[in-house]
Amino acid sequence: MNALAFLSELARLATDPVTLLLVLVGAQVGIVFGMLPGLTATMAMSLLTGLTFSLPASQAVAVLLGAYVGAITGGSRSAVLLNIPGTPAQAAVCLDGFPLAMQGRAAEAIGLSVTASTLGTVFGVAMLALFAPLLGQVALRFGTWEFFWLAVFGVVIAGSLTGGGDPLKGWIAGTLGLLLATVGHDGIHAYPRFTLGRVDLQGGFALIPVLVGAYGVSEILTVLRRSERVVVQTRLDRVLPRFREVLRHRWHILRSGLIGTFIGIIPGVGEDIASWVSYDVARRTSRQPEKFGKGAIEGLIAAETGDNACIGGACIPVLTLGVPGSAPAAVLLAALTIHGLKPGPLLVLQHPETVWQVVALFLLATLAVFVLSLTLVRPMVRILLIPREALMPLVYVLCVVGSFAISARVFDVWVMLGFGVLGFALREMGYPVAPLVLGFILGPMADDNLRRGLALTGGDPTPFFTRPISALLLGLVVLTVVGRTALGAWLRRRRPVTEAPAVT
Amino acid sequence: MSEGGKKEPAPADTLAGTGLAALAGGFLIAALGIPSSTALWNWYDSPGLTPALLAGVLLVQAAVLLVRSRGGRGVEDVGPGWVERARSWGVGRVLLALVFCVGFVVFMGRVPFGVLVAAFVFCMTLAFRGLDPLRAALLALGTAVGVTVVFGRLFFVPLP
Repeated sequence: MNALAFLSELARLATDPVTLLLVLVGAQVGIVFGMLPGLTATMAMSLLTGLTFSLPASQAVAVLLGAYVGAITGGSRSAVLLNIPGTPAQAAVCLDGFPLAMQGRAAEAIGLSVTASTLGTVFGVAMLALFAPLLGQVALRFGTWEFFWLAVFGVVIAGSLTGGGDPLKGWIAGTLGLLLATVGHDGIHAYPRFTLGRVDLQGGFALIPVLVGAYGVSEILTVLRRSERVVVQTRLDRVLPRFREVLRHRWHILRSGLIGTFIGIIPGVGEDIASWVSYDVARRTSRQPEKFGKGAIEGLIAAETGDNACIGGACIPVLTLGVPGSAPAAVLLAALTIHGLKPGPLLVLQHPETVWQVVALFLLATLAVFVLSLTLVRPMVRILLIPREALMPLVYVLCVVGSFAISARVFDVWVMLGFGVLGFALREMGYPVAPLVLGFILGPMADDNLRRGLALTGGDPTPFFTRPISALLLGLVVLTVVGRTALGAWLRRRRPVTEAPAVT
Repeated sequence: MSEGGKKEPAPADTLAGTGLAALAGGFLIAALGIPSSTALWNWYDSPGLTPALLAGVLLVQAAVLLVRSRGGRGVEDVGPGWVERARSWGVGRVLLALVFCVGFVVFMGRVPFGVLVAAFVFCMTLAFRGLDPLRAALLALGTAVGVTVVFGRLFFVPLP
């Protein structure tokens, strides 16, 4: 990477008013889409790809990168304020962000999450600039066997983390999510499974209605169930966190940045997994792991840094291999191709200026999102002053719009409602919702890679246990299950399970 | 917990365990009904392999939950006075909210979306916040206009 060429590209773009305006517009649209439950980064970028079709490539990319960073960062607003993740990547942010808001520290939580997001994005983009070719090579070592274990590992981690003192309930929710993901055509032979003869079910349950139902509708029912009114008074003394406060968490930021970038590089694994793994590692390495799920700043910072660092990581395989690292990165890849740029090894070798341009635009987008997000913290925190049951009709309408917008089918809205009732029932019985959703997201990955791995060896499962990265991931799964089961037994001996509610 | 130190089954876990076992059993039977070997696939890449394994895992988990619930680890008892407890828990409010939510979906596509949003917000606001009808109507109108303009006109999101 030629630093001088990169700096000159950055200076050129930063002084171009049209580019700056487009980055700002993209960032603001992204923040709005990210904030609203059911509207995702992928959806924002898909819509903007069409709207920016007539623009020159560099200007279209400016809008799309602004929207990408904006949506991933903006999703934490509703996660912190309403306990509803704006995008799947923010499910882990709810765990500590919402308890912080309930403690009257919403402004602080948002300020910290925006700062962590910004640092995470900058970290990921720096890695993109410095190590794109090298890290692309590492990701290539992941085969079908490793992807299977990665999916299992993700569900086991989520179940362990969110099950409170009862990891079994977390794992049950995760398995249920994996199982429900098998409904519809299978990914290898397109065989219709468990469709009950219904055409609507042949494509399976769509992710967005499942996500919106499990989080949004179940939250609506939970809020409306209570007759007492909950209005949270929050302190608005300081939004921008003190430098000392950020510096205190430097190792969490650095570690989550590395984890997020690495997970972003792995094709098909996106911001949501990066967020969960970062959160898990932060909890394991924390001196106060018992505070996680109850408003731990470390947890919030780790989850936010991880999912945003994943943005830069996910763009590494896009630019170097032409393979998307996440769903929004797949839209970015499509947009680059539409505009005549052909991502892949040749792009990096023959047109390095394109890579520098993407990196420079990423940095501008990050800056724009940082400024816009912090400017809007105070009006957003006022949402908490409105009684929550007053917001719920609007939230339900937004959930319906988000679910319907994916493919304009009323069936998806029914799916949303069904998963909402399921999520509500699970929550009321102490089961966490997050592993259900993560299991649903990772189900196709686990299913396809298990069968593909077996098919490649004619039914011999040995590589699942003997390949180095597979063995490592399997070891982590076993350690997590055994460790949490033993820990769970110990916790149960110390206190009844009713005193350790699960985190949803 | 019963008298004399004898533990009673935990109803919530028993209920959940039974329901999950039934669900897993259903998936397992359906998965085993998928041909394990055809001209297109062998047993190891059969479409039924993963669901069968997952249903098996869920069945084991449900069994553990049921066994554990027999040991008395539970959330609460079902006994005399459950009607009072259900009322104080908020079962009526949940059912009312579900009626409105289901009604919204039933009328989607049959009533103009803006009108449907306005009616839904109006009813929900009256039922759950107890605002006076005029304020509820203003709120409903504002929400309907805002949603249809922002999503339909600004973001070009398809609305029912």
